[in-house]
Amino acid sequence: MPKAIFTLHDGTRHTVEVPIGETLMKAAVNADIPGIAGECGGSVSCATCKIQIANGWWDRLPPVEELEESLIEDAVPQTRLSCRVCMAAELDGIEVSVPQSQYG
Amino acid sequence: MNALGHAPVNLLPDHVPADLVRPYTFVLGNLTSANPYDRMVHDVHLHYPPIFWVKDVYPGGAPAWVVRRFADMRAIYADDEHFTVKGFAPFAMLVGDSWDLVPAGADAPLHDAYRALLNPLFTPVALKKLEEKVRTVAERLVDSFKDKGAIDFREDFAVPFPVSIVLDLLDLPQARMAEFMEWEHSLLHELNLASIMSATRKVVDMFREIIKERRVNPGDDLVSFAITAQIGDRHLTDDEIVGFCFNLFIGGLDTVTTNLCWQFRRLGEHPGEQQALRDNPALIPDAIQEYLRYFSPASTFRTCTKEIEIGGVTFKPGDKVLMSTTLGSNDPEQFENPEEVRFDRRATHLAFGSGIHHCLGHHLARRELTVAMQTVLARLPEFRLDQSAEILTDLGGVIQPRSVPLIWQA
Repeated sequence: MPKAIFTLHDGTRHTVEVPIGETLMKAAVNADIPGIAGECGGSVSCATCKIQIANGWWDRLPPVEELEESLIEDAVPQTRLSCRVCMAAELDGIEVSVPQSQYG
Repeated sequence: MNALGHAPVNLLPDHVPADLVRPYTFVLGNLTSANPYDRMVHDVHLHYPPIFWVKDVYPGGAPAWVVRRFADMRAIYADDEHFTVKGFAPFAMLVGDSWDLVPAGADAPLHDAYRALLNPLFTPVALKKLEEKVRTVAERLVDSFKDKGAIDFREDFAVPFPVSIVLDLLDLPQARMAEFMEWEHSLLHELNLASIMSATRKVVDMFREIIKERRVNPGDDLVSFAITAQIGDRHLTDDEIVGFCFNLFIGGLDTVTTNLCWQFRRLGEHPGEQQALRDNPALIPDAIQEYLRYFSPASTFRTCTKEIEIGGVTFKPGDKVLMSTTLGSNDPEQFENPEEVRFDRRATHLAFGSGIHHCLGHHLARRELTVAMQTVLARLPEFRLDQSAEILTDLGGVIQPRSVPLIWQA
């Protein structure tokens, strides 16, 4: 199964298996990855599943749509909502980092 | 059956074991002079089973299950196969109307269509144009009392602040403030049904009037938006627009007021926390996140639609379920020492609910709470809670102190 690698604020790395088509948010919540809240369950409202995409992976993702953009505008560069990133064959091994807080 | 062959009035449904029945304090109409977050909230977790049955917790004195664990609550919030939000707030029913709250009172898939329409209105970017207004309102309010040395923070700030912002969102004159505040109070804090009904009627009549007027003179406000908005190829009905306005009214005012009351009461009782935030205002967002957890004040209901077992307890169709964010956000299985305030906790809690109904206005609420704290701490010297005053707290659907007497050296 494809994998995603989450690096937490304290530097620890977690490798999570993500079925093709499943969002990184859902996989992270199911795997209890600290720092990914996913409060709204993926309805693109709460912005509590932010991740920063590592260099080399950003360009392989589908473009950011307007609603997502309006939720992450103030976040660090290369931020996505993990509820809007679906696993695909070309994303196997994707590296992302999780912010210290989803709330600030 | 008793000796005369009559079923006792209090007979439990067959699927409710007698040993799961508990008395419960957090019911509309109950008051306390204690701070319920000191002990009462945590005592429920210490002494009660994970799921228990309360005979009178649903408005009108009907029974409901209470689920106190964070994980169970998150599962129920996410489970639209076995639970519905229908009837979670009975206002329309009380006055014989047919509208539902929009979006809070709708199940999927209609709910999803509402949220797709409304989410863009409440994103941080969409709210940026409000930022200056929010700050100006906060500054004006603080300046109006900063030389007094003693206020009721609830009446002088926590109530008018969110009302003023909602008036702006609806493009209504600030002169209607007093009227709004009175209706809001009757709707959410009156204990007799007649007052709640009469307030519901007044608020609905007002919104129907505004809708009529905005159809003729549309502007850049939420009512005009709702009038022109479309779901697929249809416009919203008048009932839907009323439900949206009513949802904004009950969701956007009292909840913010309540959190402000608890946060500033806390700062008045804990000078160390107040000083830490004065010394380092960058801590304010983390502090607010933790206070939102610690003081999660609201409860809503779900209704079971299909039998399901959770933790050995059977829920039958028609059973009401109390979703107390207060309990879920203070569950010791989820939060280490939940009775402690720790600014560095940065934890996910249930103050805004969870799942598809997660509070639409939470970005606005956080904005308002942050600006309020920044503004008050910047403009007011160190304040304390007036310990000589008795503070009564309502323990109903929203746990709110009736006053927050603050004093300082003016």
